[in-house]
Amino acid sequence: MKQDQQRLIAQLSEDLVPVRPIPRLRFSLGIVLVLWAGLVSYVAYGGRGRAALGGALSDPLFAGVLTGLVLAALGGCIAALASGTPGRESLARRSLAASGAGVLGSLVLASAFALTGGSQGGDTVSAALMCVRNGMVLAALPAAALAFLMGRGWVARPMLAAALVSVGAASLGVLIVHVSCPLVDARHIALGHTSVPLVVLGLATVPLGLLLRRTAR
Amino acid sequence: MAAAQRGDTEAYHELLEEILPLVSRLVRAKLYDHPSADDVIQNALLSIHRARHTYRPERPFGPWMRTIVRHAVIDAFRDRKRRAAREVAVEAIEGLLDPDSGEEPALERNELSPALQAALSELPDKHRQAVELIHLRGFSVAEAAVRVGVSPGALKVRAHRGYRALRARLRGQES
Repeated sequence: MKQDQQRLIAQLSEDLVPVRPIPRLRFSLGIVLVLWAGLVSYVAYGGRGRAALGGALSDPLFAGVLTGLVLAALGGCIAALASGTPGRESLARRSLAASGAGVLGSLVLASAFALTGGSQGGDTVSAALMCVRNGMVLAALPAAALAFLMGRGWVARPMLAAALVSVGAASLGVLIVHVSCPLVDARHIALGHTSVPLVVLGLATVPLGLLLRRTAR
Repeated sequence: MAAAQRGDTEAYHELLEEILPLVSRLVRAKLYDHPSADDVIQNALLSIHRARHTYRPERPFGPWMRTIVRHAVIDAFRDRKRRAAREVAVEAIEGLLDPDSGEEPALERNELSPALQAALSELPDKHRQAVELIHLRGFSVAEAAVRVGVSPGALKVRAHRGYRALRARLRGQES
């Protein structure tokens, strides 16, 4: 068997062709964020932006959910990219924890506000569905970019990686919805904004996981 | 590894020689003296070869390598579990898939796409046989190696080369 291993080493060395190393994780993250910034400016310059973001930031619900979604987005994207790079498991785990805290924190906060009378009622469901749909559409580009970058890496657990991509991209998408949506009703924010990462997680993980299984590793 | 990424075969050979005892230790720490341990060591080396582009020179090499070896061991455990489940079914239809039984091979019954069949037929015999046995007929490397009469390591390299050529040919047909 030792001889087989020596032979394998000789053949692998013989087979060696130059390869370009995958980009640094922060560079990959930068690509995703630049694409996302493009989406933000498209929404902002398309006249769909919120008129006074500064004022909204003083609202604890708006600011709390915004913080949670930022954490979920950055944590999800970093965890996804780290999970496609051998040796970065520790970073992936820490980012996953941050992302999970962001998703759950924003959901719990919005639900708590809704349950304690922060909601004025009205046609919450159709408006929420509109925001969920917009969030999913805006998540498509970051998700595609993340999947492409991870396809160049070495994904050991495609389904977990797909779940991380789903949460990260959905949080990026819904962040744009959250800052551009004029509705401040707590029930609307809980249903239409903070639920998007979980909705995308449920819908996109399996197809994305199958795609990653084919492309990465 | 950074030199290997640039195509330095000598540095790569040296690196693989150097890490072989460590890879072996890591695998045997999980598999002890299981008969498949040597296969897993070779799979780990192949995985390191395939994943060499994911190593970033500014990062430490050890954790990168250990992750790949760990997953080679996990894959081996999964493979063993899958095979244990399949072996029951195989016993029930013993002889049905035996290429010497005179039955039409499963590979031909599977109706491969014409493009794949054409690309397969263009491969050198040795490579085609390895790809067919391992990737298309689902034999384990050890089983396929016994059938062909070569060592598992040699068969893996043939399959790897065949698979690479196949992919290049199919990509060429697409463009």
